[in-house]
Amino acid sequence: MTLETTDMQSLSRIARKSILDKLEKTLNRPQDPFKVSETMGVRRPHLTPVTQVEENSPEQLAILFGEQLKAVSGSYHIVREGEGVADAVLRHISQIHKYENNPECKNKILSWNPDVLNVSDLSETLERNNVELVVPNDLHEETCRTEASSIRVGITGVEAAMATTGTVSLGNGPGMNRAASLLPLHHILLVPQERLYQNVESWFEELRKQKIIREVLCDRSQLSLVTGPSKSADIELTLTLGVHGPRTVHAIIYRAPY
Amino acid sequence: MPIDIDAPYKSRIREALSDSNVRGAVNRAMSQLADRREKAVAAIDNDTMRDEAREIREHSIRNLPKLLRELEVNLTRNGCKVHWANTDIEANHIVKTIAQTCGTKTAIKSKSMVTEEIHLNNSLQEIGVEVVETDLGEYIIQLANEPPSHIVAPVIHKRAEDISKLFQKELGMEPTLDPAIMCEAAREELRKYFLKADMGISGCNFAIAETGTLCIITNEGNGRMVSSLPPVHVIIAGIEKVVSRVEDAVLLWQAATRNATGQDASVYFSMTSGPKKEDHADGPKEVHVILVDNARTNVMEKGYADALMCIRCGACMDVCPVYREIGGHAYGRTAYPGPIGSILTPLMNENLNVGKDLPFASSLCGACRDACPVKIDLPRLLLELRNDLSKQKITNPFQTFLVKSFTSLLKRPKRYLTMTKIATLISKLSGTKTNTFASLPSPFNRWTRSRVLQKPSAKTFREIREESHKQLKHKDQEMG
Amino acid sequence: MTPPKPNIDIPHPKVGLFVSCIVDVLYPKIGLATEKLLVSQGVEVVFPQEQTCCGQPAFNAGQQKDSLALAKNFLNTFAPMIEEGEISSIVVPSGSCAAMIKHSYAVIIEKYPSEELIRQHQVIEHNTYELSEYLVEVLGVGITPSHRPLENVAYHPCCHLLRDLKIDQQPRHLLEKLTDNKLLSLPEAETCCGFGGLFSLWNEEISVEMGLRKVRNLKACGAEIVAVSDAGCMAHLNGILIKEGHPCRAIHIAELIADNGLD
Repeated sequence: MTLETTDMQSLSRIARKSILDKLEKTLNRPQDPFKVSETMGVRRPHLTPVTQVEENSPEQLAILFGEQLKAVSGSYHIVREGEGVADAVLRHISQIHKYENNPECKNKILSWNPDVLNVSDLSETLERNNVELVVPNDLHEETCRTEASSIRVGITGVEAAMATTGTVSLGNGPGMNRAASLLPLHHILLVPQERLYQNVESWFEELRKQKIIREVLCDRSQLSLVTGPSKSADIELTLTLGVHGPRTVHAIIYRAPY
Repeated sequence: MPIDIDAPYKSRIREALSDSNVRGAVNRAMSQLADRREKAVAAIDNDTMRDEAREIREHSIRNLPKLLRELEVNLTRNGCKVHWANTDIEANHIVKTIAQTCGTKTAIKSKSMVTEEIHLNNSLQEIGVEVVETDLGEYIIQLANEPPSHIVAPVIHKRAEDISKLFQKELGMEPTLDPAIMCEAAREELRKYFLKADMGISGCNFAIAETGTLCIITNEGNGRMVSSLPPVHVIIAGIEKVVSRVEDAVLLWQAATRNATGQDASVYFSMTSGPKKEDHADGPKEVHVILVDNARTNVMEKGYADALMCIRCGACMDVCPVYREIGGHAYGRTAYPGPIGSILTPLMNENLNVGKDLPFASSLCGACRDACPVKIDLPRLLLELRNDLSKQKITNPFQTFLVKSFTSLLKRPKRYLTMTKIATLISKLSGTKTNTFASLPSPFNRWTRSRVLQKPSAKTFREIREESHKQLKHKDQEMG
Repeated sequence: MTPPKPNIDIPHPKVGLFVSCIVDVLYPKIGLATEKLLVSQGVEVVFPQEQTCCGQPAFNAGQQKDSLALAKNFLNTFAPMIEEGEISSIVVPSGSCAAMIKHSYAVIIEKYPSEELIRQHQVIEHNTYELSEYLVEVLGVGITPSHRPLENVAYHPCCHLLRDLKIDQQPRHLLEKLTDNKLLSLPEAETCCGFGGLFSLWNEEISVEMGLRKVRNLKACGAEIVAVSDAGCMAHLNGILIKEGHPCRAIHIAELIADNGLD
């Protein structure tokens, strides 16, 4: 610890005291610090979900989720009976290849650890078709980072998928890296139907019920709610996709266990 | 050419009103944003969402000390280093010290209004750190060396042509007006920085006390990059950002996105709770959280705690008819323009003189109050600020004198009657050819420069009424 | 559009009329039209001579202490009349004055409280009505246009009436009747015209630009008349319309109804 850091820490402690003292003093004085008080700090115990729907069967939620994703420039495919998830992945990759005309698109996918992906024959099927799942080990390490940043397709699972907004929840974890959904131009989501929820609020409600909400957030170090491909409207409010994050997001929805 | 934001108020307004390019751009953008917002809030039970958002934010501000302590405990538990800063200088000092300790050469930033307030970029550049804005709009104004003009859409005052010229000059891009190609050029350039930066700096939209989680809203993904790729992540949060529970952040997130851009959900809502764990492949190794006051406690102390509930959605400026005409730069050198800015700017400066014209730059139409997702009574705050400025004698003395005289004449019925007699006399003396004045001496020339003014009537209402009642009485007497 | 149900509880109501200083001096016809309308509906109108100004200019200028004197004058004039049963309501042909009296007086009184002021304000708060509100909600006025229905009429909702008092369907209802349901649709109708009281002087450039925008929108929908509820907005809009040489005119709804259609 250097002189600068000790100095910084003591300044911080002084600031902390000064800020908290000032706040407490202001809030405790008789005159209300608000010009207009609506609630005086009282709040209702349960919040109303911002979006709600009638549908609640997994099949209905799958379609709703897919359509919402499509509405924000994503795409989706619901795996039918007898169809393979890995095949659906392969089909989508060849679509991308047509669109991209880039050999790298065809051969490597930046991925979560296949064990975490819950699609049992995924790596074998892909390998048979010359597609390699690249699972990065340590993205702070230079060669790993260089390889990862050159791969144009990424594939991940989800913690949960929320139908009313077309949102998925992605967290960090062992075998679950952020890079796969962040660096590549194209992102493939593997969405098990059993992880579909009506809306974002119901997923958190479930976590709350199971008393794991803090655990999930903190263990994941970062939990991202992702809704479709990256976009910007900064230039004259014209919508452009793929500014920094993925340009395409494709969800493959299937019935698990698979 | 953007206007000189350091010029006095009147000249800023004049410059802004005479720049038809910027006015056109601002008008188009604000109309679109206001329309999108309108559709997004009409699609849900907006009244309930506003009530609940208001409850959450009022509760947060009324319980700030308790929630900040809870936040600190949980952030620390999660492995974050928590720092506190009274002022912009202290906050910058902390970031510089972290940068020096970590040997930072390049820092990437995602959009943060509080870092605009404290002028963080300049501060880091002073110690030789290269700072690159990664939000497309912020990146553009960084290249152009201009200040932002809107809190959500910082580059709304620029047309595609302006941005294209800029990219051609700075990035060697081919001439084009296609925003997709321009974005591609920016993506390529900024991707280099994302991958090599040794520090990521972001702001924070909400800080969840119960779990020690900081939430960042972006559509581009730069928020995720900044908080995931570099080994060090520094988050700078105004102390008013804290909320109690996870569900609060989830509701406020949707309130913010619907009101800011008309989206049901932003593309990314990153909830960061701490540095990476041992077995995570990526994520920052160090996370520093700097809780910044920078005059927020002053705002509360002065009795304007309402303004601290703001979730920075920008809806107020999207619907403001004044902002629509003058744009953001006319509000001067401040991180916050528009209605909320007209309240925060004078309050957050020690010298209430700064931005003293801003609370008066409003017709008090109330569109902002109706739009605000946390139901801040913005016109009321503006009126109270006007009252405070007047009490401190910081307002235009001529205006004060005029109003005092007018009031003094009007508070006594007899004086009022005398005044009306004078007014009708002036009117008669000015001739009967027209019933309007085309020009008048100061200060009423401020009216007649661009408008005609109705002349006082030859007889006031009460005179006419009295006469007609007398006539009726006569008639009754005659008939009776 | 079905009109709201009338709320007639007194057979021959007696109301106090507050016209506002601007109507008294610049636009007396508005006051005369207001009285004529009320009398035609069997209302007895009392005009207390002690009235002056509601105090808005001082309040909006941030001189709340100065506006207190005017608030006191208003309350001393009208509250006793209600307390003594001389009148049942106060009618005001101005949205901004009505809002000042009903809402902003509470803000001033909170700063300079006295038992008397608090009591007086409570007495008048729920008995003060803007004109169209009184006509539609209390009297249940019906309108049969006495001449041909008015044509090419647009309605500009004045901000205090629309957002402060949340009165909008009432004036629209009256105007739809006057125009045989052909009230024009004004683009950006709810955008402020730019008057804003003293804002029109101290920020004249912005005020005028906002007014010009309103004028452009009036031109776009082909309005020959734009109905308003506030004389201030009227003065500002006509000021620009006349200067621009545009034939459209802003007319107060009191005059429009009084001159063109009553039961």
